[in-house]
Amino acid sequence: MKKGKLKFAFLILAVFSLSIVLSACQDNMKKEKVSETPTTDANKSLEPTYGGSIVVGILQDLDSLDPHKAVAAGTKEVQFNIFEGLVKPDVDGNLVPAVASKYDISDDGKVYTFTLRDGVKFHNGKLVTVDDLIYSVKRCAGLLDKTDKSIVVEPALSNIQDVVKVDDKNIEIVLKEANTELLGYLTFAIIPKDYKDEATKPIGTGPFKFESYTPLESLVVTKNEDYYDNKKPYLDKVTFKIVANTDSAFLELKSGAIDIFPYLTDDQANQLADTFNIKTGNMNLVQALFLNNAVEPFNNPKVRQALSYAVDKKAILDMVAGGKGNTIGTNMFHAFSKYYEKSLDKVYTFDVQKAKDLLAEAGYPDGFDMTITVPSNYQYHVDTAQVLVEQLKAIGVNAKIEQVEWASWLSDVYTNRNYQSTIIGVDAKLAPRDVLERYASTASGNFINYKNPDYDKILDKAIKTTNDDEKVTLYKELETLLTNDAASVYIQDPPLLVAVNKKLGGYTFYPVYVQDMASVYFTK
Amino acid sequence: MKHIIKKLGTLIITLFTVSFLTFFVFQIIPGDSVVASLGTDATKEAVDSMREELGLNDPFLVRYGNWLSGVVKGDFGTSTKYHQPVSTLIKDRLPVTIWLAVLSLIIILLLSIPLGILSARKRGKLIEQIILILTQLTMAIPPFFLGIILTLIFGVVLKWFVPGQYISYSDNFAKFLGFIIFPAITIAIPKIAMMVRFLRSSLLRQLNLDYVRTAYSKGNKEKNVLYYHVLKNAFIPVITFLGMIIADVLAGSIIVEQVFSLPGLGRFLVVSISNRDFPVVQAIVMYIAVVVIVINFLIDILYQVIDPRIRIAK
Repeated sequence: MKKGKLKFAFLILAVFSLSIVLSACQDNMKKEKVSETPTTDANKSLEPTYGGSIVVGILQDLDSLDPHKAVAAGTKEVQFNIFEGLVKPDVDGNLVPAVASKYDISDDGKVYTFTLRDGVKFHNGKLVTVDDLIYSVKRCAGLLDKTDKSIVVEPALSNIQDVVKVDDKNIEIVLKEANTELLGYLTFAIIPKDYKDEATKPIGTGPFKFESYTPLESLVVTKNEDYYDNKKPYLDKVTFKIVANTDSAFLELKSGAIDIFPYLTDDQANQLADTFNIKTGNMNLVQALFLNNAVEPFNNPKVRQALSYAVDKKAILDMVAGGKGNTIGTNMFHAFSKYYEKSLDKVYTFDVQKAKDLLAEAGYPDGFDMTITVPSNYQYHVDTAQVLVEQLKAIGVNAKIEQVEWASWLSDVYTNRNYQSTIIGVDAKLAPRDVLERYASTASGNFINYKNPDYDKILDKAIKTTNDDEKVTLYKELETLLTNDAASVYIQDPPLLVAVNKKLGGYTFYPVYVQDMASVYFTK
Repeated sequence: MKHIIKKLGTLIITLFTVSFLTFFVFQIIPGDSVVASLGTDATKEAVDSMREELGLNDPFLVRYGNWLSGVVKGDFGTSTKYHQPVSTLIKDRLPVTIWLAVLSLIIILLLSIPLGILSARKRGKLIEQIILILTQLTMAIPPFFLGIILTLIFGVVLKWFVPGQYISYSDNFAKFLGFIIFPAITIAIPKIAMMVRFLRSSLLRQLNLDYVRTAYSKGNKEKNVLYYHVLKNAFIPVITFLGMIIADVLAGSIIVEQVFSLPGLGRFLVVSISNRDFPVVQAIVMYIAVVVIVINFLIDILYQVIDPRIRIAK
């Protein structure tokens, strides 16, 4: 009997392992088959065709359909397809006219004049009028008589004093204080005046029309036949599917349920390389080990500098991103090349001895213990933290990773600033000012408690000036201050890895966080 | 009748306690629904005005009172994340979870009862060994792993369904069932294993009792004894267990819904907790409490139908 039992157990085991091997074989065979196809790919013409529908995977659910109420970057990146502003970003990061056909900024930087483009229609078929423009600007700037509290007013827009109708084609936006960079904030959506259902059935002027939205499931948009650029869009329908996490997105990509997915990990990208076109772009983030400048030992600049020397940025990129991505030397990313002070990359070269010396000077010859608080939903930042912990051991710093939920991170670290150090990526809208402004002593976004009176003075000057060259110089000075003070340990601008179905063409990267589906097409 | 009123009283007291506890826990945990909803770009003014609008500046008990009086009127409030009434949001998710529960229950019942009886009848035979080893194995596999394996085998290799391509029940019901059958199997497998073992041991316990011997001595065949005498008695403890399973699957299978990207209540609950979307969390917790209590109540009644002795004892 006992023997029989044993035999039986073996039999089961054998069947099991066989089935696993078989399924693995099948998988391999498929892979081989698929890897043969790309050779024919080159012969195919890559001409765009019209029509077809695709599914794009997104990780975050939308926080509001009303474009003026949405705040999440994940919402804005898809709303880019439904709405357009007076101006919009192009692939190079320049602002180009959209609903407005041209604009003019007065020399004193106080009056912006916009001319309405001819024949722009809303998705409901009505022509856009200057009244709609005025309504939209006022709604975003909080200037409507009856303000809806859930509309998020961008601080930069509170500088708008009034919006004036010049004639049936032109409007003037009058500012309280001069600001030549406001254009970057005028990308907010133009919506129909007094339309009540923006939060349920949004109407805009973009290349795609809203079709349906189901929370936790999907947002479906269809082609806007009346779009003023008559070449675009190519596709008839785009479904933005909300996926639970990158792992399930990966399975869905493999099975063909998703055509485009923009947030692959390096591992996944390597595994999908045979069956998908993998595009590599930049996330346009400043990823750093942010140090709370108000707590010990990081209130000592020498300690912060020591950490900056102790971190091998290139090694981090190799470990977490397969060598892709760009290292950064200051609080700016490469997409803003005009404003990026390149010499700062060489200020802190990897040097363990120098780091140790600086620590000794600061009074910590044996190092110290520290905690890195990382939001657990960003695996990329968690991975970076793990590499950092190993690197910091070399100078005797004992770092411990504390993973917290995103909501806890937002309230404890970002809002209440109750932390020692954290790893996160800081983004910017179209104005480089956005990245630098947060380090003013009193800024609400200054979560690292950086305080430098010189910085405040230069920032003030940079904001006020209307001379572009002077602005660039001043911004670079600000970056230099941040680097020299080692406000934080600036690491990298992470790579953005996108899987795109091989039948599709036209996927483009923007220097801002958007998923532009108007340029995507099926190749012949 | 008296019994029903008593149960109703328990239901209300339990719901009250559960809601208060959830409310209380939400005060303690870190994170803030306003900050979570507005994100890093929020200005202090925006945060303050939203806080005011949501009534978050009121003291704890006042807020609980407001919420409670809303619920009594059937108003569960508005989601802080989706800006939609909680009742609509839940109404859209509920069918997914219920169909998933119904489907997995059918699978559990169809497989576990025959297998349980079989393993009890074939004591000491090879077939019992097979069943025991399989149940041991399937109980040990965590559901998320089982889900991934099923997706890999049936979705990626065999291509019987497209992973992640969930089709809404309102779009195409047949295709909807064709998709959720796989998560349903994932939920069912470990539960089948537990049920089989439970039923088997319950049957074996009964088979050793005196009345069974009497039944045999009256000349009954094994089948007769088993189906007419033993099964009914053996079912009583099994029904309690089944009740727990029903409550469990109806409460939403958080992990399985996550693995298969199903927009059910379980996933909604997890998402809402990380958004600190309090009204949604509270409503789902209340739903789960109601399900557990009502199922227990129904099981109570079912006992009395099966075994009149319990009825008399009351």
